[in-house]
Amino acid sequence: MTTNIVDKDGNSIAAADATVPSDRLFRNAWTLSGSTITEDLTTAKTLFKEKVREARTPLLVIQDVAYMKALEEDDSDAQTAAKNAKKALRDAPAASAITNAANIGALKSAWNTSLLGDSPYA
Amino acid sequence: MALTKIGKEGITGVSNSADATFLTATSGEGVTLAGTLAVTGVHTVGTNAVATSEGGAATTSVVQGLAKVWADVAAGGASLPDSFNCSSIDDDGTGEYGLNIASDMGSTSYSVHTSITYNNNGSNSLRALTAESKAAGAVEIDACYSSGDGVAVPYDIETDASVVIHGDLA
Repeated sequence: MTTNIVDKDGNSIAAADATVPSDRLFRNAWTLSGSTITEDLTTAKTLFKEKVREARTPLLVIQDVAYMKALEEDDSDAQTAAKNAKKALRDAPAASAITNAANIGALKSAWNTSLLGDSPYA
Repeated sequence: MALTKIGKEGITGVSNSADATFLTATSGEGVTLAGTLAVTGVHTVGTNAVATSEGGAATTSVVQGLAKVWADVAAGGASLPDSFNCSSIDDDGTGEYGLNIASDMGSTSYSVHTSITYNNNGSNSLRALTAESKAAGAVEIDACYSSGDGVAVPYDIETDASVVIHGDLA
Protein backbone atom coordinates (compact mmCIF):
# COMPACT_ATOMS: atom_id res chain seq x y z
CA MET A 1 0.00 0.00 0.00
CA THR A 2 1.50 3.29 -1.11
CA THR A 3 1.33 6.39 1.05
CA ASN A 4 1.74 9.69 -0.71
CA ILE A 5 2.66 12.88 1.12
CA VAL A 6 1.17 16.06 -0.29
CA ASP A 7 2.81 19.34 0.74
CA LYS A 8 1.16 22.70 1.36
CA ASP A 9 1.39 23.58 -2.33
CA GLY A 10 -0.03 20.30 -3.60
CA ASN A 11 3.27 18.70 -4.54
CA SER A 12 3.30 14.96 -3.92
CA ILE A 13 5.89 12.31 -3.19
CA ALA A 14 5.75 8.70 -2.10
CA ALA A 15 6.35 8.58 1.63
CA ALA A 16 8.94 5.86 1.22
CA ASP A 17 11.06 8.17 -0.92
CA ALA A 18 10.80 11.27 1.25
CA THR A 19 12.82 12.69 4.11
CA VAL A 20 10.34 14.24 6.50
CA PRO A 21 10.51 16.47 9.60
CA SER A 22 10.81 14.76 12.96
CA ASP A 23 7.22 15.54 13.95
CA ARG A 24 3.91 16.61 12.40
CA LEU A 25 3.28 19.62 14.65
CA PHE A 26 3.51 21.95 11.66
CA ARG A 27 2.27 19.42 9.09
CA ASN A 28 0.39 22.04 7.09
CA ALA A 29 3.62 23.98 6.67
CA TRP A 30 5.43 21.10 4.98
CA THR A 31 7.04 21.99 1.71
CA LEU A 32 8.72 19.62 -0.70
CA SER A 33 12.04 20.23 -2.42
CA GLY A 34 13.51 17.30 -4.26
CA SER A 35 12.87 14.39 -1.94
CA THR A 36 13.23 16.44 1.24
CA ILE A 37 10.32 17.94 3.13
CA THR A 38 10.96 20.91 5.40
CA GLU A 39 8.71 23.24 7.36
CA ASP A 40 8.04 26.64 5.83
CA LEU A 41 8.65 29.05 8.70
CA THR A 42 6.21 31.73 7.56
CA THR A 43 3.39 29.22 7.25
CA ALA A 44 4.38 27.64 10.55
CA LYS A 45 4.08 31.02 12.27
CA THR A 46 0.59 31.42 10.87
CA LEU A 47 -0.35 27.97 12.19
CA PHE A 48 1.22 28.81 15.54
CA LYS A 49 -0.85 31.99 15.84
CA GLU A 50 -4.02 30.06 15.01
CA LYS A 51 -3.19 27.66 17.83
CA VAL A 52 -2.64 30.60 20.19
CA ARG A 53 -6.05 32.00 19.27
CA GLU A 54 -7.65 28.61 19.88
CA ALA A 55 -5.98 28.32 23.29
CA ARG A 56 -6.92 31.81 24.41
CA THR A 57 -10.63 31.57 23.57
CA PRO A 58 -11.73 29.74 26.75
CA LEU A 59 -9.29 31.86 28.79
CA LEU A 60 -10.94 35.04 27.54
CA VAL A 61 -14.30 33.67 28.63
CA ILE A 62 -12.91 33.08 32.11
CA GLN A 63 -11.63 36.64 32.28
CA ASP A 64 -14.97 37.98 31.01
CA VAL A 65 -16.65 36.27 33.94
CA ALA A 66 -14.00 37.57 36.35
CA TYR A 67 -14.49 41.09 35.06
CA MET A 68 -18.28 40.96 35.39
CA LYS A 69 -17.96 39.61 38.91
CA ALA A 70 -15.52 42.38 39.81
CA LEU A 71 -17.90 44.90 38.32
CA GLU A 72 -20.80 43.61 40.37
CA GLU A 73 -18.67 43.74 43.51
CA ASP A 74 -17.25 47.12 42.62
CA ASP A 75 -13.73 45.69 42.99
CA SER A 76 -11.55 48.00 40.92
CA ASP A 77 -8.37 45.95 41.49
CA ALA A 78 -10.02 42.81 40.20
CA GLN A 79 -11.44 44.73 37.26
CA THR A 80 -7.97 45.98 36.35
CA ALA A 81 -6.49 42.49 36.71
CA ALA A 82 -9.10 40.99 34.42
CA LYS A 83 -8.72 43.82 31.96
CA ASN A 84 -4.95 43.35 31.83
CA ALA A 85 -5.28 39.60 31.51
CA LYS A 86 -7.66 39.99 28.57
CA LYS A 87 -5.32 42.45 26.89
CA ALA A 88 -2.41 40.05 27.29
CA LEU A 89 -4.48 37.28 25.73
CA ARG A 90 -5.55 39.50 22.86
CA ASP A 91 -1.93 40.49 22.25
CA ALA A 92 -0.60 36.93 22.47
CA PRO A 93 -0.58 36.16 18.72
CA ALA A 94 1.49 39.29 18.11
CA ALA A 95 4.23 38.33 20.57
CA SER A 96 7.69 39.27 19.38
CA ALA A 97 8.94 35.78 20.24
CA ILE A 98 6.70 34.48 17.47
CA THR A 99 7.46 37.20 14.97
CA ASN A 100 11.19 37.00 15.54
CA ALA A 101 11.53 33.22 15.72
CA ALA A 102 14.38 32.32 13.38
CA ASN A 103 13.61 28.62 13.10
CA ILE A 104 11.05 25.98 14.01
CA GLY A 105 12.72 25.23 17.34
CA ALA A 106 12.56 28.87 18.39
CA LEU A 107 8.95 29.03 17.26
CA LYS A 108 8.00 26.04 19.41
CA SER A 109 9.67 27.76 22.36
CA ALA A 110 7.65 30.92 21.77
CA TRP A 111 4.57 29.44 23.44
CA ASN A 112 3.81 31.50 26.53
CA THR A 113 2.89 28.81 29.05
CA SER A 114 2.28 31.29 31.87
CA LEU A 115 -0.37 32.98 29.76
CA LEU A 116 -1.77 30.16 27.61
CA GLY A 117 -1.11 27.02 29.63
CA ASP A 118 0.57 23.84 28.44
CA SER A 119 2.21 24.09 25.06
CA PRO A 120 0.91 21.87 22.26
CA TYR A 121 4.43 22.05 20.87
CA ALA A 122 6.25 20.72 23.93
CA MET B 1 -22.57 -27.01 -23.39
CA ALA B 2 -21.04 -30.00 -21.70
CA LEU B 3 -23.82 -31.12 -19.37
CA THR B 4 -27.44 -30.25 -19.89
CA LYS B 5 -29.69 -32.31 -17.71
CA ILE B 6 -29.93 -35.10 -15.17
CA GLY B 7 -32.72 -37.39 -16.24
CA LYS B 8 -34.11 -40.51 -14.63
CA GLU B 9 -31.52 -42.50 -16.44
CA GLY B 10 -28.67 -40.41 -14.94
CA ILE B 11 -26.49 -37.68 -16.32
CA THR B 12 -27.08 -37.11 -19.95
CA GLY B 13 -25.60 -34.89 -22.52
CA VAL B 14 -22.08 -35.09 -21.14
CA SER B 15 -19.44 -34.69 -23.75
CA ASN B 16 -15.74 -34.16 -23.82
CA SER B 17 -16.07 -30.54 -24.68
CA ALA B 18 -13.55 -27.74 -24.40
CA ASP B 19 -16.29 -25.39 -23.30
CA ALA B 20 -15.36 -23.31 -20.27
CA THR B 21 -18.90 -23.68 -19.00
CA PHE B 22 -19.37 -27.17 -17.65
CA LEU B 23 -22.88 -26.87 -16.29
CA THR B 24 -25.68 -24.78 -17.65
CA ALA B 25 -29.27 -24.90 -16.52
CA THR B 26 -32.15 -22.91 -17.89
CA SER B 27 -34.15 -20.72 -15.55
CA GLY B 28 -37.04 -23.09 -15.90
CA GLU B 29 -34.99 -26.08 -14.86
CA GLY B 30 -32.67 -24.60 -12.22
CA VAL B 31 -30.29 -26.53 -9.99
CA THR B 32 -30.98 -27.63 -6.43
CA LEU B 33 -28.15 -28.69 -4.19
CA ALA B 34 -28.85 -30.07 -0.73
CA GLY B 35 -25.24 -30.70 0.20
CA THR B 36 -22.21 -28.43 0.50
CA LEU B 37 -20.99 -26.76 -2.65
CA ALA B 38 -17.21 -26.54 -2.67
CA VAL B 39 -15.71 -24.21 -5.24
CA THR B 40 -11.95 -24.20 -5.53
CA GLY B 41 -11.76 -21.89 -8.51
CA VAL B 42 -13.01 -18.33 -8.87
CA HIS B 43 -16.71 -18.21 -8.13
CA THR B 44 -18.42 -15.37 -9.94
CA VAL B 45 -21.71 -14.25 -8.46
CA GLY B 46 -23.83 -12.18 -10.83
CA THR B 47 -25.62 -8.98 -9.92
CA ASN B 48 -28.88 -10.94 -9.87
CA ALA B 49 -27.76 -13.03 -6.88
CA VAL B 50 -30.08 -12.70 -3.93
CA ALA B 51 -30.02 -13.87 -0.34
CA THR B 52 -33.07 -14.95 1.58
CA SER B 53 -33.86 -12.71 4.51
CA GLU B 54 -33.42 -13.96 8.06
CA GLY B 55 -37.15 -13.89 8.56
CA GLY B 56 -37.71 -15.59 5.25
CA ALA B 57 -40.19 -13.01 4.01
CA ALA B 58 -37.94 -11.28 1.53
CA THR B 59 -34.83 -11.52 -0.53
CA THR B 60 -32.03 -8.98 -0.69
CA SER B 61 -29.43 -8.30 -3.35
CA VAL B 62 -26.08 -9.82 -2.47
CA VAL B 63 -24.05 -7.43 -4.60
CA GLN B 64 -25.82 -4.32 -3.36
CA GLY B 65 -25.13 -5.34 0.21
CA LEU B 66 -21.41 -5.80 -0.22
CA ALA B 67 -18.93 -3.20 0.99
CA LYS B 68 -17.05 -2.06 -2.09
CA VAL B 69 -14.27 -0.33 -0.14
CA TRP B 70 -13.12 -0.49 3.45
CA ALA B 71 -10.03 0.73 5.22
CA ASP B 72 -8.48 0.95 8.61
CA VAL B 73 -6.55 4.23 8.71
CA ALA B 74 -3.59 4.27 11.07
CA ALA B 75 -2.77 6.95 13.63
CA GLY B 76 -1.51 10.03 11.85
CA GLY B 77 -3.25 8.90 8.70
CA ALA B 78 0.03 7.87 7.17
CA SER B 79 -0.84 4.30 6.30
CA LEU B 80 -3.55 1.67 5.98
CA PRO B 81 -2.87 -1.34 8.25
CA ASP B 82 -5.60 -3.22 6.41
CA SER B 83 -7.93 -2.35 3.60
CA PHE B 84 -9.97 -3.59 0.65
CA ASN B 85 -10.08 -2.08 -2.84
CA CYS B 86 -7.76 0.79 -1.88
CA SER B 87 -4.75 1.60 -4.03
CA SER B 88 -3.10 4.22 -1.81
CA ILE B 89 -3.64 6.92 0.78
CA ASP B 90 -2.64 10.56 0.46
CA ASP B 91 -1.36 12.42 3.50
CA ASP B 92 -2.74 15.82 2.52
CA GLY B 93 -2.08 17.65 5.77
CA THR B 94 -3.06 17.73 9.41
CA GLY B 95 -6.19 15.60 9.65
CA GLU B 96 -6.62 15.52 5.87
CA TYR B 97 -6.34 12.28 3.96
CA GLY B 98 -7.25 11.03 0.52
CA LEU B 99 -8.29 7.42 0.18
CA ASN B 100 -7.70 6.30 -3.40
CA ILE B 101 -9.95 3.53 -4.71
CA ALA B 102 -8.40 0.78 -6.80
CA SER B 103 -11.50 -0.29 -8.73
CA ASP B 104 -13.54 2.90 -9.11
CA MET B 105 -17.09 3.45 -8.01
CA GLY B 106 -19.61 4.00 -10.78
CA SER B 107 -20.40 7.56 -9.71
CA THR B 108 -20.26 9.80 -6.66
CA SER B 109 -23.71 8.63 -5.57
CA TYR B 110 -22.34 6.17 -3.09
CA SER B 111 -22.62 5.91 0.65
CA VAL B 112 -19.49 6.50 2.69
CA HIS B 113 -19.38 5.80 6.41
CA THR B 114 -16.61 7.07 8.65
CA SER B 115 -15.76 6.63 12.28
CA ILE B 116 -12.84 7.30 14.56
CA THR B 117 -11.55 5.32 17.50
CA TYR B 118 -11.85 7.59 20.47
CA ASN B 119 -12.54 7.39 24.17
CA ASN B 120 -15.36 9.85 24.72
CA ASN B 121 -14.95 10.16 28.48
CA GLY B 122 -16.85 13.37 29.04
CA SER B 123 -13.85 15.53 29.79
CA ASN B 124 -12.37 15.90 26.33
CA SER B 125 -13.57 17.52 23.17
CA LEU B 126 -15.59 15.75 20.53
CA ARG B 127 -13.71 14.02 17.71
CA ALA B 128 -15.10 13.37 14.27
CA LEU B 129 -14.14 11.91 10.93
CA THR B 130 -15.99 13.35 7.97
CA ALA B 131 -16.05 12.86 4.21
CA GLU B 132 -14.91 16.19 2.80
CA SER B 133 -15.63 15.24 -0.79
CA LYS B 134 -16.33 12.22 -2.95
CA ALA B 135 -15.13 11.21 -6.39
CA ALA B 136 -15.53 7.93 -8.25
CA GLY B 137 -11.89 7.10 -7.64
CA ALA B 138 -11.24 8.63 -4.25
CA VAL B 139 -12.78 9.97 -1.08
CA GLU B 140 -11.27 12.81 0.93
CA ILE B 141 -11.64 12.43 4.67
CA ASP B 142 -11.05 14.95 7.44
CA ALA B 143 -10.33 14.31 11.11
CA CYS B 144 -11.16 17.09 13.52
CA TYR B 145 -12.01 17.92 17.09
CA SER B 146 -14.42 20.49 18.40
CA SER B 147 -12.79 23.53 19.97
CA GLY B 148 -14.21 25.32 22.99
CA ASP B 149 -16.29 27.58 20.77
CA GLY B 150 -17.57 24.72 18.63
CA VAL B 151 -15.24 25.11 15.67
CA ALA B 152 -13.95 21.98 13.93
CA VAL B 153 -10.17 22.00 14.28
CA PRO B 154 -8.18 19.62 12.04
CA TYR B 155 -6.06 17.14 13.92
CA ASP B 156 -4.18 13.94 13.17
CA ILE B 157 -5.91 10.67 14.00
CA GLU B 158 -4.77 9.54 17.45
CA THR B 159 -5.51 5.82 17.39
CA ASP B 160 -7.11 4.81 14.12
CA ALA B 161 -10.15 5.46 11.97
CA SER B 162 -12.45 3.48 9.71
CA VAL B 163 -13.94 4.11 6.30
CA VAL B 164 -16.52 1.93 4.54
CA ILE B 165 -18.13 2.56 1.16
CA HIS B 166 -21.29 0.96 -0.17
CA GLY B 167 -22.77 1.58 -3.58
CA ASP B 168 -22.26 0.65 -7.20
CA LEU B 169 -18.88 -0.12 -8.66
CA ALA B 170 -18.16 1.03 -12.18
